[in-house]
Amino acid sequence: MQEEKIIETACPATEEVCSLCCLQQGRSGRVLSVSGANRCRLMELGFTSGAEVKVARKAAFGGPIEIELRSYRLSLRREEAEGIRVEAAPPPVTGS
Amino acid sequence: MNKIVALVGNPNSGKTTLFNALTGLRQKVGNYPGITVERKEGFLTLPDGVTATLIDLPGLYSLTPQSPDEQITRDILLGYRTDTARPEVIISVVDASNLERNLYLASQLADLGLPLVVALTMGDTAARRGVEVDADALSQELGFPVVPIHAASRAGLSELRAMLAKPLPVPPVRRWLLPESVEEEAKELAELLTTEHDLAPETAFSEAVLLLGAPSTPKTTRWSPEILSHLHGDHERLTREGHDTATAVAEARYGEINRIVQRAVRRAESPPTTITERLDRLFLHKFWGYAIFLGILAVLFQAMFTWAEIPKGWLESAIVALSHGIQAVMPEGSLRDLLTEGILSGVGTTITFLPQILLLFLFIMILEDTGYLARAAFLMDRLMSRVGLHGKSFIPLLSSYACAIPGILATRTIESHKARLLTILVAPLMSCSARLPVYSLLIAAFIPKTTLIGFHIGTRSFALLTLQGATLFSMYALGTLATFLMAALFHKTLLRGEAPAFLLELPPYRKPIWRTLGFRLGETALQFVQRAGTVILALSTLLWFLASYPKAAPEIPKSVALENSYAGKLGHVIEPLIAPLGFDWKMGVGVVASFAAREVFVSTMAILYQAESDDEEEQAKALKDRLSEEKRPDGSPAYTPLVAICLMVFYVLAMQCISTLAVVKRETNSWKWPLFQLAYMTFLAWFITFIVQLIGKALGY
Repeated sequence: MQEEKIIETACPATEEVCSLCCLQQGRSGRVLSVSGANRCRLMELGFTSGAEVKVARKAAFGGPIEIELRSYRLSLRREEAEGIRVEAAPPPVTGS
Repeated sequence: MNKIVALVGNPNSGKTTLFNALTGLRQKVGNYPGITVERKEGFLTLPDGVTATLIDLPGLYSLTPQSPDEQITRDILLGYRTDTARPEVIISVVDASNLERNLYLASQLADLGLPLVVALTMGDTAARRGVEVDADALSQELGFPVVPIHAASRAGLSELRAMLAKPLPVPPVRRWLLPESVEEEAKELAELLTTEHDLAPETAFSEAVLLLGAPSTPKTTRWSPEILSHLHGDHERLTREGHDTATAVAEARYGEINRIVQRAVRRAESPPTTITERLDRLFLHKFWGYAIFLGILAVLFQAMFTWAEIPKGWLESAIVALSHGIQAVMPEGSLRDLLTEGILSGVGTTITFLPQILLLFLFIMILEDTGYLARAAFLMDRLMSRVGLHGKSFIPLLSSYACAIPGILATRTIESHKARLLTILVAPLMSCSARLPVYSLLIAAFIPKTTLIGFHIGTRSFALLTLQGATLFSMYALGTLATFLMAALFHKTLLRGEAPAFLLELPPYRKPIWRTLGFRLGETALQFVQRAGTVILALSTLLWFLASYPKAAPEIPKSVALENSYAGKLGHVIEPLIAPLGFDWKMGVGVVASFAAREVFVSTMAILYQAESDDEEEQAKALKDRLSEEKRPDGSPAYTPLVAICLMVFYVLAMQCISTLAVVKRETNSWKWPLFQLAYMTFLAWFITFIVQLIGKALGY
């Protein structure tokens, strides 16, 4: 419960630079930096600065997030996605 | 001398499928000594008639050693292990539908100075996503051969075999550079490694890059203190100068990969929506996803508890027939008793679980091969992660309701060693089907049939929930609760420390390849039977010996003979230990005998209380009555509802299954964990039973 709150407050609604776990489903961005205990592994998986990422899906009840990057998809827990700072792309224009 | 070939690739890259396609049934599975990494080798004949040994290394994302899998792969590839000869050729399995990340590992492999050939898999999946990989261009850019493979149709396999027969060139010197200061450091470190450890220059350089690319200086005795302190100094200095070596290495490799991919890959303008994406919209739906998951679980449970009963019944009657057969042809004596009462009842009982195990495995393999298991883990991870478990722990734990053995074997799907060990440690707390006969007997004998929730239609009344049903449910609930609480406890204490990243890939949905599925199922069956034939055989013999010796004269009733046997004496010996729980020595014998298999409690009680009957149901009924009449020396009834509850609580929590311990030993590759499990569960069982007994007494039962 408390964890979720922290993530909520760490997610400013309007900022362009935010944590990957704050991006809404369907939105994309560009990686700025990676921090946290698993940063080395995350970079080896392709989260290098400048890489394009997209939130493909978020599980219910605060479960994992599926992320699309380098033309593949990977699911991370929110705690891990939190350490990935991204520059959010403008929200996609929904057709008609 | 066999040619040694190593098979290396990312998880889900089609590596195992390729391994099976290349080697067929000529496989050898074991463990690397000292660690829990599975060792898998197979043999294939090359076109020139030479036999090659193919080593299937664990699926991994990178050679930077952060887990035992990565450590061992790297050690084997660099020729550090004494038990495995250094491979002469590497087959790098690269998934065409996930090219960039797969090439990261290939780029690390290319640095090792060993001949390398890429097996390009999943071309069909890539094509469905509108991605076309030009194998020739890819090979041109990489500088080593690339063979497109389609394992299911066996396309590309003979090209790959032909490639292995030829002398392959060592990959060319890398074409990418690290930032200047990092590059300098890498060269310096490589030189130091060459002089200090006598490494070949290219091995030394790839080591240096791996060491610099790791998150911290490794704690290992492999490298001399000079190397480690030099490395530590490098990390500190470069960090001060604003360079992060891990970032530098990852970015340099991906930079090169981007260049290669731009030349070798064509992408469709607008990628088509794949079937996988469509299915995921349903299977991972926030409501329907869970509904479907529950439906699948219901079928699984139904299968385990009812369908498996049919072949189980056949096996049981076959064993009974065999036992009668032996009795008919063999003269009376110890050997006959050992065969029928010891081996057939011990090993035989275990073998009867085979249909259940195979059915469960068939289900799990289908779920795994189709790609659904990863979706189930995605859905369940939130719940499981709260106690340190993994989304993939869910199915193994659930399977443990049937039997902890297949449950523990099913933990192999969990890549995180910590989460896997945690799952193994708590899985036997889930109430398995062998506990059910114990619960049934005690509930039927001592828990009244009082209706708790029910309704009347006319003069007939229907019970929705009786006290008996509620008691049975409570036992399952207690086991489940204990599983999660103990997982949380171990997560916070024993297995604390940095958890590896949770990485889950949702592979595209696929049709299972029935042939390989059959192989794997056969492998599981064989392993299980082998275990029954060795460990369980030895233990059943021991237990039979304890219960039958010293030999009593034939006219002495069985119950007295059992009391005087070693098992009976053991029951007396442990009586002071179990007396605080309200158990007497006879229950002690039952508890001891249950170590072979919990359901043995019922037959042991039957022998002790002379409720002899051939039919188990009859036996249980007769036994029920005998148990309620049983008096203590002071004339009070031996069994009260409280004693029955205490016994059941004890059975819920205690580790009384030698087969499970043997499997845990095999899966963790050490006696440490099974012994720990035995100790903690026994203590937990004693302690909780004691508390229940105190509370019960205080409430006046």
